[in-house]
Amino acid sequence: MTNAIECINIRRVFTSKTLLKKKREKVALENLSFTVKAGTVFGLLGPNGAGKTTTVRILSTLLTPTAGQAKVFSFDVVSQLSEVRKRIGLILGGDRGFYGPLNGIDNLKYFAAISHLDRSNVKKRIDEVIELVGLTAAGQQPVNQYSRGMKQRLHVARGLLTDPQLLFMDEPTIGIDPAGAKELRDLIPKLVERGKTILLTTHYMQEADQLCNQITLINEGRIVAEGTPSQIKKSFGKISIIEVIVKWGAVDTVQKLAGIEGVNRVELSSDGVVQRLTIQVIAGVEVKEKISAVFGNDNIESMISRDPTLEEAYLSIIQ
Amino acid sequence: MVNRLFDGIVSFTQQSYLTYRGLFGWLNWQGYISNVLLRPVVVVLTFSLIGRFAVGLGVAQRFALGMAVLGMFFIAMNGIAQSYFFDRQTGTIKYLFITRGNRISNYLSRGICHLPNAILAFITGIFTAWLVVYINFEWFNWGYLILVVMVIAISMTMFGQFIGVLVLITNNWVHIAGLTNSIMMVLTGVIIPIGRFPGPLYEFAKLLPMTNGLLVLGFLFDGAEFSQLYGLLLRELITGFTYLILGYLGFIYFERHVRQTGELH
Repeated sequence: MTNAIECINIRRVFTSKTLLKKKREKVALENLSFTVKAGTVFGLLGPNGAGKTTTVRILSTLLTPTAGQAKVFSFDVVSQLSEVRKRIGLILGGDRGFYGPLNGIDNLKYFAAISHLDRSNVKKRIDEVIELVGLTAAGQQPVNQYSRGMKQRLHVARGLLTDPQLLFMDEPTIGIDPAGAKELRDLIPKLVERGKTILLTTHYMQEADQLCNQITLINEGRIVAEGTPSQIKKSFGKISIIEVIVKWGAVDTVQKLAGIEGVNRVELSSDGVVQRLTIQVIAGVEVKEKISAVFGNDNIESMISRDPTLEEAYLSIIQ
Repeated sequence: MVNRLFDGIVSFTQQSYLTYRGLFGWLNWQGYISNVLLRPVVVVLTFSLIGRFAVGLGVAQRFALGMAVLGMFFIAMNGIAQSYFFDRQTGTIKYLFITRGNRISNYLSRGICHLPNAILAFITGIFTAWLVVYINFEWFNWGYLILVVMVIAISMTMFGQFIGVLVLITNNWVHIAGLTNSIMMVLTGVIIPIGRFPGPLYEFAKLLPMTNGLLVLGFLFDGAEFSQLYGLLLRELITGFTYLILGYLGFIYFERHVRQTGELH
């Protein structure tokens, strides 16, 4: 399987000047190396300011790396711009990025014109992507009348317009209602079936868990974990989870449980007549007996251990 | 080959039309009427009346002609400058920079639709001049007038592209446009004939667009033979073209610069 993306020791530094003209540097990416196999969904996760969007901008030729090398389908993103741009689509999202006075369709016509989409195919392709993102009814409205979610859909339509081999999706479901977000998530596997490669950044861990074949977690510009979602949950998560269901008295015992050595966090929820506790425990520390001692065996309906969710693993890695 | 050329023309036309509609802030009836139609009237009227009552009819006619031509510059330059400014402000310029499209086509498409507005502004201004200061068209050669006005309008549009790229680079429309308008009013012979300038200022004025075109127009109205004015008109066109090229180089530089610095983001 060919590599759609290869990043080798990417470094990106942003320079600015203070009011006193003193040079100030921010290292956005440091020694970033990863590969993405063609025909897969690759998740790039991390907190705000981690360097996800900077990575996307470098790979989509909007930024040059300060050091290192990045390739898209073996073409260098610095020296072979034209070959890279032929193969990519970009979904950055946000309120900006369109001509407000123009309607959705005219915006797409403009982007089709600058992308040199085959003239005979333009109308058909625009109709296809507009329908795909559910904007057929709003296609003739000026974009400055669109809601945030509609603009986001139009971003997706633009990214798909040229039918690219590699699609960068930077938080594509942000601002979209749950039904629309589900439609978009359902679209991703279909795109992969058609041979597309997708690099996805998202804050929704369930989305990453559901969609991604491979995930890389970055924090402060460096990789902190990588692997399949299962590998990350098992190997990199510093916690394990114990789910306890008790009949009564959970509220009074939360503090006591939190005080047990090895317990990171205790969350309480009610489920009808029973009470459910989700206890985050440092991986490898045995606490079940101590938990049983707190409640008494007669009070415990069930106590099971499970692997953390991707969100729980992510939080334990990042924090 | 022919197909590719035709595709290129269609793409250029679409870019020109859609960026014009999407980025020209005065493309609504209030903005358009105020700036393209009424403003030239007010400006020509103001300077005509000042000239007529402060000095005399001859000077007033010269002022009126100069202001009618300056009106072309105002609308072309501001329209194009807005296009570049709003392209950056709305965040659309970065989507241009990830395409492998023809950058010459992208660059030129931002100016072309403002050319008719420049001509319309001149027509409005010169009509006002005819009404207020009795500019005489009876013996005039309309063919030469149309040619000269077209050359000046094209030169203004080309210069507007240069200013537009400056606006793109500095991300500042109002100050750049204001400064340029002032420089053009003072130093191109619109009010003060450039022959009255001291040496270095005279040479600088000749490097500006509109200076040579305005001289040609003035000489024509004074009854000069057009055959004596080819050189000046050609110089006007070459001046505009030089700024067009400088603007294009600036456009390419800007794309490379923002890729290095991340300034756009």
